[in-house]
Amino acid sequence: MTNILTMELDVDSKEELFKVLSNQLLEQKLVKESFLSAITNREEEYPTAISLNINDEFKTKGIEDIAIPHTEGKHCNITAVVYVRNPKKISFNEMINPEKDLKVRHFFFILNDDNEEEKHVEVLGKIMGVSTNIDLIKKVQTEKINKVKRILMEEL
Amino acid sequence: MIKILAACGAGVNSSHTIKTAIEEEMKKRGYQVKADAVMIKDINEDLMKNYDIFCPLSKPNFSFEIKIPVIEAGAIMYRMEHMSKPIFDKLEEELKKIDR
Repeated sequence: MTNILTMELDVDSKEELFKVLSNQLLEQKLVKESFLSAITNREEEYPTAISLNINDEFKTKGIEDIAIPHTEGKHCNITAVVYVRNPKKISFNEMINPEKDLKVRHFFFILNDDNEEEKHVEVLGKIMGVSTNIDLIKKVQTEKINKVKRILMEEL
Repeated sequence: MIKILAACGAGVNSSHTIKTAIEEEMKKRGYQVKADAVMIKDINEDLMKNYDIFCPLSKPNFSFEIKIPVIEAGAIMYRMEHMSKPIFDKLEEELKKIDR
């Protein structure tokens, strides 16, 4: 089972999102000081937004795009997924198509602990499993944040 | 054994997902392949020489010429048949060429 954190933030930009989240994670000693610059640079060079505009059903049900910001394990103290929901959509570039700009307000930050490689290599696959299951992802994107935590604890 | 190089920004999450998916699917299709997952910035011309096919997450941009077949494999991540099948098919085509 993966460690799950969920939080609602209210930020206006990618920079603010990374800063606020890094501070919270740092306070809980889940990441190292280097996390903020690592995740910022990493997102700049290799963006992580993922379009969930997969088919008409996803569109009709109003499924929104996600991003999965993450960085190397040496900047983290734990393997975990942090789901962050923001009221406003923020510009993120698409992972498999970096010149494309997506508007994102659902984030699955992946914390990788270098000592637990067998654990975190599977995490993204599980996140994609949830994200491509239309009923599950609808719940994750719309339910109250505490309930989302329980759902993700079961699924990831 | 045919060797495939998967790559992404951090060399952990996306490239490992691609690596695992490729190994599983190619085994199903009757091919023995070995895939490695690395960070894009760790790739150089020398490293590339050890591989037969390159499967990056997105369009690669290197200062050197890539001499092996390149198949952009990002869509495999979705683990959805209609998105990954075209990539696996392309990969299989290349594998057949190498076998010959």
